[in-house]
Amino acid sequence: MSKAGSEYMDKLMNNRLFRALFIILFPVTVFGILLLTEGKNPIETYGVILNAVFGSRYGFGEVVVQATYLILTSLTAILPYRVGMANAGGEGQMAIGALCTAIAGTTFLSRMPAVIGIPLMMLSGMAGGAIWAGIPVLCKAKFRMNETLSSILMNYISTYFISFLLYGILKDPKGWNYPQTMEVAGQLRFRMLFSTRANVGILISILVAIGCWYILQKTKIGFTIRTIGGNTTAAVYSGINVKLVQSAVFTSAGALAGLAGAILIIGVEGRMRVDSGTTMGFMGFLAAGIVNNNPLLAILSAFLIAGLNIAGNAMEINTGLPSASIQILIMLVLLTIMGMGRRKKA
Amino acid sequence: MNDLTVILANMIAAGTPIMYALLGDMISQRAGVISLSVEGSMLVGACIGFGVAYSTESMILAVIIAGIMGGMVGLLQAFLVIDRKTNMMASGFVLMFFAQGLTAFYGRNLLSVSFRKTLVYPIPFLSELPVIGQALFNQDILTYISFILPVIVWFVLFKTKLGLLVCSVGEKPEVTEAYGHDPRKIRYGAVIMAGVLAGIGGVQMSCIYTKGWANGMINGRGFIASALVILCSWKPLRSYMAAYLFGLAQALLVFLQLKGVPISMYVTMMLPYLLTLAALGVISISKKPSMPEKIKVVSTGTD
Amino acid sequence: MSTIIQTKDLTIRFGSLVANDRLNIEIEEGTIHAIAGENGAGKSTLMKMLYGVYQPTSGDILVDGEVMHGWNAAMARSKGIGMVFQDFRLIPAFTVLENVFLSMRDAGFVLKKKELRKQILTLSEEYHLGVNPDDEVWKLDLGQRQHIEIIKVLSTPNIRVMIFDEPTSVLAPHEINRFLEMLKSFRDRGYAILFITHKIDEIVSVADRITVLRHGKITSSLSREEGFNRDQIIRSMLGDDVSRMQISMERTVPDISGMENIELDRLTIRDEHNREILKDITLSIRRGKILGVAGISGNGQREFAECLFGVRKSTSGRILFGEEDITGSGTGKRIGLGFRMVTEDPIHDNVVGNFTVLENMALAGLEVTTKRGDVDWKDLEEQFRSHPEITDLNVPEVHRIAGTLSGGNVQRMTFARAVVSNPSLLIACYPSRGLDVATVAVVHQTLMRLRNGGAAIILISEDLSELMELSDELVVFAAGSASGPFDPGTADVNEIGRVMLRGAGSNE
Repeated sequence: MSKAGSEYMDKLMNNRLFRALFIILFPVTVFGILLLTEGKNPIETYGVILNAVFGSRYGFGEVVVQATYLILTSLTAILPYRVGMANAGGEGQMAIGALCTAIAGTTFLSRMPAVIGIPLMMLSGMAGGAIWAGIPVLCKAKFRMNETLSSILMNYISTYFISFLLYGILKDPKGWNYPQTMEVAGQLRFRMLFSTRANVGILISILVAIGCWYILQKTKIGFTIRTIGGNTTAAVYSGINVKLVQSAVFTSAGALAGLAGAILIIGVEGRMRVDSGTTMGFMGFLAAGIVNNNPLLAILSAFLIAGLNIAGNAMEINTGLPSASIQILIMLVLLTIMGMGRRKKA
Repeated sequence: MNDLTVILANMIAAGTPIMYALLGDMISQRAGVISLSVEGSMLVGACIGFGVAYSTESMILAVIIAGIMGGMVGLLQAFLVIDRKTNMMASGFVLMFFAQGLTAFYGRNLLSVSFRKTLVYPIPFLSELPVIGQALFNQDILTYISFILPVIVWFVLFKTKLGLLVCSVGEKPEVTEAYGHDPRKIRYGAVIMAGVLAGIGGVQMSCIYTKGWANGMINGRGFIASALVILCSWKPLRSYMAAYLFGLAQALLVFLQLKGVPISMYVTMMLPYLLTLAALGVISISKKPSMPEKIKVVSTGTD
Repeated sequence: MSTIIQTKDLTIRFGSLVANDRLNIEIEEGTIHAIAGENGAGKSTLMKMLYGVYQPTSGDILVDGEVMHGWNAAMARSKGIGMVFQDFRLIPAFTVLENVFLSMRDAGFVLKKKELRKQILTLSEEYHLGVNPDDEVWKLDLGQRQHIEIIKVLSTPNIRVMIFDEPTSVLAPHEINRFLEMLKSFRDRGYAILFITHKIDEIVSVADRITVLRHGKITSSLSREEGFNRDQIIRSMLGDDVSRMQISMERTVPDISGMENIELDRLTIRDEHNREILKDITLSIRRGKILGVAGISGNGQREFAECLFGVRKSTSGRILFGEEDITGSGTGKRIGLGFRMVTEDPIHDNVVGNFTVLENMALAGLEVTTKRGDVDWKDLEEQFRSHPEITDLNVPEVHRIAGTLSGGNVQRMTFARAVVSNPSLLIACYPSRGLDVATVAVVHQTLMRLRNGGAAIILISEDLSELMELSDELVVFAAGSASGPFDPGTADVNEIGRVMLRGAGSNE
């Protein structure tokens, strides 16, 4: 490209409005073309998508429900990223968190009143997520193992581990042989809001996200975290115990995924099933990537992905395309953002 | 067939797709980029390759297309890591979703069909050998190629200019550049190559091993292959050991099920992942001076 | 003698900086042409341009009288021009043979070990280089690595011009003499040698022509027949900066009563390859003194500094701070005791690139105060503006992003940061490397002021004159042990040079 041309491109790519339009229109167009090649009418399909999200109170409620988990699982990816790590194990951490919540809610907490029982269930879920995240942390500390790889492997392990338990000792004896735990007692559940399945969990998630942002930007520990993220060696030389902070942040991130699992059980599911909350951990990772690991903006990207996900389900019903094809659109958004590069600061 | 032959045959069948992805990612890691994207490449290769094989009945065409499609995923990985400086682990992981979406989309009509064409070419005399004959020499062409692939990769990496250039990029790219070669191009080539090989591994899996396409059928095999590269200490000839170790684990599980040993199916399915994790731990404790300089930071963090 | 390369008004700009300004030089066969100048004078840039790494902004390069178009490294090599870089172009994990193979353009696709090994051995014998083709490069010392570089250049077909970028900076005094002899033997075989250095004695002893650069311009160019005048060369190198070199270095006797000294007791340290790089080091590091550490780089200086700062663990021995045994403590604890360190690569090790200057100053520097639990940046800025040392050191503006600062500014910032926290021990590694004269003077004055204030200073440097000038005591690291302490006031430079070599000598 000519020099003037490339300069013009640079300028264009730095224009906020152009960027926003491009990030929306490019993926939408490409996905539309993909739909055309498969003989589907893109305009109709996009209509289905919009209708699924905004067309009914129930639909929007579902978006809120998924956003609840996605905000937390995106933070699960964001916090470790801020100390130079990549946690790809949100999926497993959330699932184990949900499992622990369900176990706690159906055993020793089952007769507790809500004020004690619900917080303790959440703590159980967070503990579960933290333990599951703690394994890669331990592997890194003891064996210098890459945490991304081990946390990915832990996702698969958690899936089979949970199946093993749900088909085995945890199976609800009165559950018609379905692989699921017993149901959590009614007083230990969140109330549904506005006749949707949305619940108070969304407030918890948003508050956690704001809290994470505040800690990162304003506090001393946040400054420490940002130092590590900026230059690990410089952090070491300024006296920060980098490995300790990294381990703590990674484990806490696991606890947030566990919290998502807890809200899943307390809020919507009421019991652990084999497929409870699947893909929410994975999608949280994408949500984090879309907003360049900014905890506040993650709230928005969580809603975006939740909306697309719900739309995917509707698309499967209405057009016969598999709901997973919506992942193409989500990925196109992410790849467009990554491909354009970050906006250069003046 | 006796028990041993069954185990051996299963070991090779399960190990072969891993072998391709493993050697692919080894090339990429030698050039300083960890390509977790081989997972995505395998998925795409398995799905599209199967679709091509099913509709054209041409295995050669299927392998070519699978290689190209796998390579395209590799190209994306290369672009994100090399040009956009994205965290290579994160981008490889993220590309799995893309592959999942694409294969769910394009593979939706392939879910219920199976591929019946026989692709096995027994080697005369050798296939008659007791025990190993049926297991090793009554296979398809891609499996035969996988027998010699580690040697080819070894030769190219360490005995040719191209290979040494690839390795030099993973060690000290500024030197490669000083010799008048573009490290970026070499990296791109290596990462794309990883995708091509993984795509072929994928089509081998769907057309020959499972004889059908299912959503998410790769199920982490690409990630396992990436991890096994470390177990091999980046030495191609050790991929026999690593790939077939994984294959053996799977073969034993199948065997135990066949024999009706009372063990939960889910525990057995979990084992390959646990085994990989354990193998990573074992190799990490021992010395590994052969680790390419440029991935030290990623693999072990700082200290 | 025929001219091989000629430049006509060769100019290169990097942004607003004119690195080389209308240079006209000639390189003739069978001569040693020395390019002299201070750091930053544009010598390396000129070399890289001649070798095709950089393309000139304007002006021409003529080879054999022909103007070259689209000049690049491949063209340079095909015209028989080879270069030995200051930072060696070697891959440590490869063997010598593999490195040479990689550098060769026409060696074919498949590595033919036997042939190549023979070729390397022949060259090695001809010039007494002592290179073993099957050694892995990371095991070799810098002098030996230089020999590999020379073999690489000599293996280039029809090589006739050899460019050496600061070749003696990695060598010990006695190796330097051998190196200069080797240069002469190359010249006598008809090679044109281009030789960059800032050491005047070297040029005067071997060069046939000396061209001096200053701020990117040629300030003088003399041939041996015209006679070399040392003072004139110095003046054309330094210009008016000579007067600035004479900064006052007042050395007072600080009151150090009640201040803890640091004692090292039989300290043994291993390097990355698990070799004992320093063994049984016993040293007193005293307050109010500058302890200079001399030695050829790679003799454990870095590991020593890291160990003292708590970044690296020692294998045995003790570190005492006053009465307290701090051997097992981490960096955080030592910073608490007032230890500070400026590493040899502060941009990489000490600075967070995407932070502002102020944020960087808060890393073990300015006191991080909080207001209702949050970091009080206003107060930090206040501290920054009111601290006299920060003003004296001319640290850049608080809101500038550290990643955009020049090397000199980064050094000012990291030194200011160390000073404001009133250190008990400052470990300064190669603090003047690659810096302009003015910054070096500031750094030296700061070190002296800290010393006079009662801090213990460890000054690690490869520049003997810097060490002799600043140190109160001098130790030499070589062959895994520390020799000395020597008194810089009375010690003989040649004696120290000999001690430095004991380590390097064992590899010959």
